[in-house]
Amino acid sequence: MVKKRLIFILYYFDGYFYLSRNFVLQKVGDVKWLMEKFRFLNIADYVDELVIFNVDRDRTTFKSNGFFSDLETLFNKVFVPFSIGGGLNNENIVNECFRFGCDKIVFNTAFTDNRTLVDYTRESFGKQAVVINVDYKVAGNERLTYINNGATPAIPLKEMLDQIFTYDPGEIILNCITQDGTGMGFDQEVLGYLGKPQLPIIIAGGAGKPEHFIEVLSAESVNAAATGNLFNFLGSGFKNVRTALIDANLNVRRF
Amino acid sequence: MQIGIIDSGISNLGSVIRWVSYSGVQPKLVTTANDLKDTDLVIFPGVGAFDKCAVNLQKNELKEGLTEYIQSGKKYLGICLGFQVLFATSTEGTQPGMGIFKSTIDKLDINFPVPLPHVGFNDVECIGTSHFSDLNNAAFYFTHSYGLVNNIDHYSNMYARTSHSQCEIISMIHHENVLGCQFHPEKSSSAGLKFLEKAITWLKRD
Repeated sequence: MVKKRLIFILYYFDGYFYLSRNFVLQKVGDVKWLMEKFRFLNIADYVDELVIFNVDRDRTTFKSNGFFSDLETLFNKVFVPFSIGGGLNNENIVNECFRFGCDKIVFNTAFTDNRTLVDYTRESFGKQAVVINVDYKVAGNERLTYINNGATPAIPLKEMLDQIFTYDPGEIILNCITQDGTGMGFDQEVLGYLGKPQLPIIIAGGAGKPEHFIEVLSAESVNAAATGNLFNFLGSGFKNVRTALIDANLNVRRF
Repeated sequence: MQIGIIDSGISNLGSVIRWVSYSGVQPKLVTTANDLKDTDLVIFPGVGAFDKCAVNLQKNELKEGLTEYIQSGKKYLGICLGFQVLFATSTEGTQPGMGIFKSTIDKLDINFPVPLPHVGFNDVECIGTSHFSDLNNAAFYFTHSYGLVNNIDHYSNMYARTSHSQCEIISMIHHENVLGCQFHPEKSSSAGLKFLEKAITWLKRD
């Protein structure tokens, strides 16, 4: 059976990597910092996949200066699958991402307001190349989705999921803004929205310790768990998560 | 010793170039049949839809050139779509593949329902004896909805099986000078680097 995945999210803009907490960004370091202080090459031994989100708040153009050359530095020695997302808004940049070597494009707001581009990506690169990211907030018993980097409320989560299941992309990322960066754990209750596995589901937002990963990855409907929390997983953070998952007898890649 | 990577216009070319270069061997790009001369190992990566790949293959006489190249006994490695296109047809599309093997590529849920796409790391079980047999039980990265699930061909050296729910996929084949894998060794971390090492030593043989 296919193994469950541990995914690391990198938030990037204009030469720097960022930490995200409830969608407020804090600049952390450049690629040199990531390689040296964060010992990125070791991290890649313990994670299964990476997602690089471009967090430029200006969505009118995708500023690729430096983006691909910084990624080249990372991926010259690290051979894991990676996705690119964040304001990709035309076919040329999508083509450039794949030629560079990315495996999937993550679409968020585009699923709502630029469906043609999502269609193009699916037709040209296959269904497995399209990931739809859903940002949502918890308000009591309700879950409401947000677009435009958490700025604009959109439709209820249940409705969004129905639309996405109908569309049939490769995967879905469910990202809880409320939990994001808190380290308090994933939004376990969102699993009640999923039913039987139809598509691979990646849960994101709130990871702080290995137990959080064990909780979500034990659910049948969850295929992967993701974190972008650079500080919680410095040093041997990811190694500890991997070890805990293996000790909990979860079906994950071993080392 | 020259490694050529086919640039079909729709592959994750950058990754495969970086992966091969990691071995110390600098690959060249292959876009026409002519580029196959002086190539000792050709790698065909592929991401995407079968028909787009098959149509791109028809340009620059690449399909004829590759077929001749394979029939002459020179070494070929097909990854993902580059593996699928070795076969006669795919139910994903209407275009013919190279037809080196007679089987058809099918949707993975053709025999029973399985969650799609098959995405993530999964184990390969090697059957037969080959230079690549010691990849047995290694986990490689898969991302696909179509694959070889109703196999009618015989592979003289080895093939590998991978299970996804009730579905048994032929995840790798080694038949004389042809090596093909459904998974992405260039994305499979340390197992993929072991695969690369074996491919280079395979290339250096005979």
